[in-house]
Amino acid sequence: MTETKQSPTPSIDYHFPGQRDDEEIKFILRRHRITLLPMALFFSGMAFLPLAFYSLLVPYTLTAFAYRPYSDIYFLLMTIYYGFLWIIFFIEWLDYYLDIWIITDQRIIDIQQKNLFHRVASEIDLKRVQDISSAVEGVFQTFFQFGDIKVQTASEENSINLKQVPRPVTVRREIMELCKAAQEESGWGFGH
Amino acid sequence: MNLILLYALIFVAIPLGFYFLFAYIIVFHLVKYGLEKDVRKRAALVFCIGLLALSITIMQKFFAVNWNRASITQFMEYSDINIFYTNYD
Repeated sequence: MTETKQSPTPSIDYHFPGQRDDEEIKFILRRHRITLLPMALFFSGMAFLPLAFYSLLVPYTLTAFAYRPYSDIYFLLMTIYYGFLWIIFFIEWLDYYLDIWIITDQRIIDIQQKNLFHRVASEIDLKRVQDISSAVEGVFQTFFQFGDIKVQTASEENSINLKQVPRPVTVRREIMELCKAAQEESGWGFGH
Repeated sequence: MNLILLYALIFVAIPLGFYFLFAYIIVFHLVKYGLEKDVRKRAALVFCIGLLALSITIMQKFFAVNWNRASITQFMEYSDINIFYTNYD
């Protein structure tokens, strides 16, 4: 009886630069969406700040902002502030969106957008994988089902950490099966 | 130099210059790395529309200010700030 498996991501028809002709993307992983919550809370607070400043401080200290043309200048400064906040928000979102792990039937590719002008890409051949471990730590990770996965090769320097990915146990199992298939094909045994 | 031109430089030209510089970097040098074409397009569009709306609002608000009536001394007077005040007691 064949067991039906649920893939961590739905069917994929994307191509990434450097993809081999005979290479098939099995799944793509990003950090769990719940990890965006601290960022969302921070930006909500920052968006609320000028309004709070106006309603709490202006009546008591900088009272001139309550009168024209200073009130107009205040709202002009507020709009400029929101523009910069919008840009910073978008850069943060890009940091989330561009941190990606691509798992193909041949390798694991780790692409990390460290900051605006710093992008790091590394990869591990599935044939060389020796150990895969997953960890779900704390109430938050247990409740929202996300955690870390560590993929190691024989050389300790060469490892990839998949951080805060959704359903780490399922993903680890899937990667292990892909490794087994790749190693059987090449004559290696998993864990050797 | 005309004071209003100086204000225009500080409140409009410099912020908008930064906005468009970041928009250029984000849209043409970062979003292109995204794997999903549809997400990439949508994200760039939302970002640009947001930034454009804010830029238009900045210009609108700049022209709404009566710059001839704005002065630092009057601002401090209204706010009851007197930096030249010395208490000799």
